[in-house]
Amino acid sequence: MPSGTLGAAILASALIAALGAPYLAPQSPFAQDLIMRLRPPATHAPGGTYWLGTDGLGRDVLSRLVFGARASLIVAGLAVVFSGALGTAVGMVAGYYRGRIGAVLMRFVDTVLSIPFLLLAIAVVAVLGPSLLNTVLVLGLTRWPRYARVAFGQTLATRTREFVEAARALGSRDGRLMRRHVLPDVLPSAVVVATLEIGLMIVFEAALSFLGLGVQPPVPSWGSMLADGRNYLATAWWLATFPGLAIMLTVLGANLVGDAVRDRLDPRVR
Amino acid sequence: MKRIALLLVCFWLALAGAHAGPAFTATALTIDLQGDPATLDPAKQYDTNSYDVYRNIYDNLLRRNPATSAIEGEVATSWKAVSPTVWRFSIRQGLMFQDGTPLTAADAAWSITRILDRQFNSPQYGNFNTITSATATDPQTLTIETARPYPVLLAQLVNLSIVSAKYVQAHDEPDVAAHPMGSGAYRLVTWLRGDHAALAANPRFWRGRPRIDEVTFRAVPEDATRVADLQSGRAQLALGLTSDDAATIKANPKLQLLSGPTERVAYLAFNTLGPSPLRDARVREAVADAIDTRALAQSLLGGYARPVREFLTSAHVGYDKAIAGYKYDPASSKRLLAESGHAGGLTLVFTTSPTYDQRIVQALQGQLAQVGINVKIQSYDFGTYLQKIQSPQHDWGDLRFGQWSCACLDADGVIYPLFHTGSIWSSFSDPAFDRAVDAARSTLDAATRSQNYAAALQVLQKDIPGLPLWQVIALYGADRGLRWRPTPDEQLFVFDMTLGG
Repeated sequence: MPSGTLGAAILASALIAALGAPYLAPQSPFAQDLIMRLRPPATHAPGGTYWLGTDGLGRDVLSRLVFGARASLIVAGLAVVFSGALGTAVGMVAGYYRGRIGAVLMRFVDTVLSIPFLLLAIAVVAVLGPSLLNTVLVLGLTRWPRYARVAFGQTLATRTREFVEAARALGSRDGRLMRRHVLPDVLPSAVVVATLEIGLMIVFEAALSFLGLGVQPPVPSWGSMLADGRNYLATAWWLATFPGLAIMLTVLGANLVGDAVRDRLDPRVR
Repeated sequence: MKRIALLLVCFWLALAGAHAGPAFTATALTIDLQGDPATLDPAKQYDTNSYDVYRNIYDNLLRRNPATSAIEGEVATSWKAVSPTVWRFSIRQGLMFQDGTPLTAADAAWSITRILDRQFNSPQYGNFNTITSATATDPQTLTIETARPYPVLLAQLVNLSIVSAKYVQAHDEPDVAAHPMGSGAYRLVTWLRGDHAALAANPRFWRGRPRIDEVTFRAVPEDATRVADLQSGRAQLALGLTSDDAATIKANPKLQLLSGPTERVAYLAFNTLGPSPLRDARVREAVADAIDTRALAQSLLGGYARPVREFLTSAHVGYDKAIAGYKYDPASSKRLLAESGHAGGLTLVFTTSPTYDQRIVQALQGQLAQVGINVKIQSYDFGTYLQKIQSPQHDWGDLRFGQWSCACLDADGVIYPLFHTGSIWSSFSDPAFDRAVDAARSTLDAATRSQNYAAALQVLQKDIPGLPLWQVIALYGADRGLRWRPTPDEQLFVFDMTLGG
């Protein structure tokens, strides 16, 4: 099987888990049972079998893992779309106009790159409060410069090409030129960056939840499950292992798809 | 440079070889703390990590007997209330700071005076602000005057570390915080911020040479790492373990679990003043009835917690055993919710910070869900959390979890800051409660104080500005060879420890 297909299959199964969570999860991800806390995988109980064990509050790890796919994928997906759109737009405008506008925009990009991610995250959470959407906002606001740089470079190369010159000679305005002629050339590179960023976003969401600033309990996310599990590494290995595997596989899937997309779309590789 | 060092080592080895006698081996102890001290200036401290380190460098005016918790002399040998507002303390003869200068009453006086200086902005100001003056009437006599009779004075002076007046006046604040110089059992050797602080025994310590020669305090925020350090022998004592670590420690023949009841009480505080459904006392009672404290203490905390009926432990001055507490009664909780117009359910905001044990927060959330109270957890970094809950607008949310200890074993240090009108921790206001705790803190008469605290605790029982949960049992993991007994006020005096056969 080509690696791209494998990656797509992994992402698809994560997506199916996220969408069908209520039907796939054997139990409620919130139901606590303090008597049944920290039971190892495949523990049988009157209410059913805990295939991946229970956590420190006696909740079913498998159910939480399935539901956790939602938070992780929603955050990763939305953050990539948000930062991708913002970054590509800024990069294209800067590359198209160059000169003073370009210099100002790209220095701004440098400034944003210099702000530590976690510092900004803590500031945004302090002002707006922690929530899923604010996590998306934090990630979007910190990750867009990467797209801006790529779009900037690609636009610089494209804007002097003959077909752009021709369109301009025919009287196209700047906005139309950028949308119809420059964007199609920039988009493949941006998509490649985006597929690679999906993996990073999942990891960043995990980092924010790890610090208690991301998705709020009891809503499970892979990151918060991993954070909860770290204190039980020696006593309850299953708590950190399964969300860790889920993150690893999804990031692997996203990267495999990213590689395949790049092979297809990136003009330099083609 | 390297070559010189190598030469020195060779020279030292040759010298060591020349001494044919039994080799002197230094006893070294490594302690894993949960974090790095914020400061080593005793008047600037705010957190237990700072306490744990600097208490070994400085001596306190008074101390508590580690076994009985009775107040005893340390720097002071005896004391007397000359009048209800004037106290005389005799200072121990022959005490010496680590720089060789003598410790006198003037140093003790200055240790208080600098805290009282508003410019200095000491976080301990609130503990000492009833003191109007501290003076050295002669080199061995400290006189303290208070604005009114202050019954908790001695208990607060247990927490007063004596600095050298000359030293702190000659050095600026950051310098004193980074290079502490006291008369205690240990002196600071190095402090690598965020990593570790190394202390060495003070051979001239007045109570004798400490049995442990070197102590290293390491900052290890990860619970699992502290346990791993114990298992690998990297540390001989680890603080802040959870009940889930207890089994790991107990299963290891090289380790021992040291535990002791503390004066710390875990509680749930309600916002009774803000825009919150908890303004209604019936809703507060509904929350109180929905929480099964016993189940949490037994299952979640593995029995390492003692359910309490009030915000005090039986060791506190002011404890009243007549307080009834609340019974776990989900049916009554649902009925109260219906009566208060929340039959269809209710959503409350639980404001918290990762600093607090999130297992407990989520377990409380789970229990409230059982009666139809939907709890939304809002977690902030600790600084933001404090800012929110201390905001005078009381707009911080509806519930918060805390674990309170004043290290003074007195109701005045607990229910006054938690519930007195206007206290930064309080989102409650009741004139009868205020009158009772105000009266109890301005008389030295023990019977009057108990009466007033009983009245104040009755108000809390009836009005429920918060729910007392349990008395915290501190868990320490230690090497088998360490002999030490944890104290209720969670002090960590290395001088009281011995290590090895």
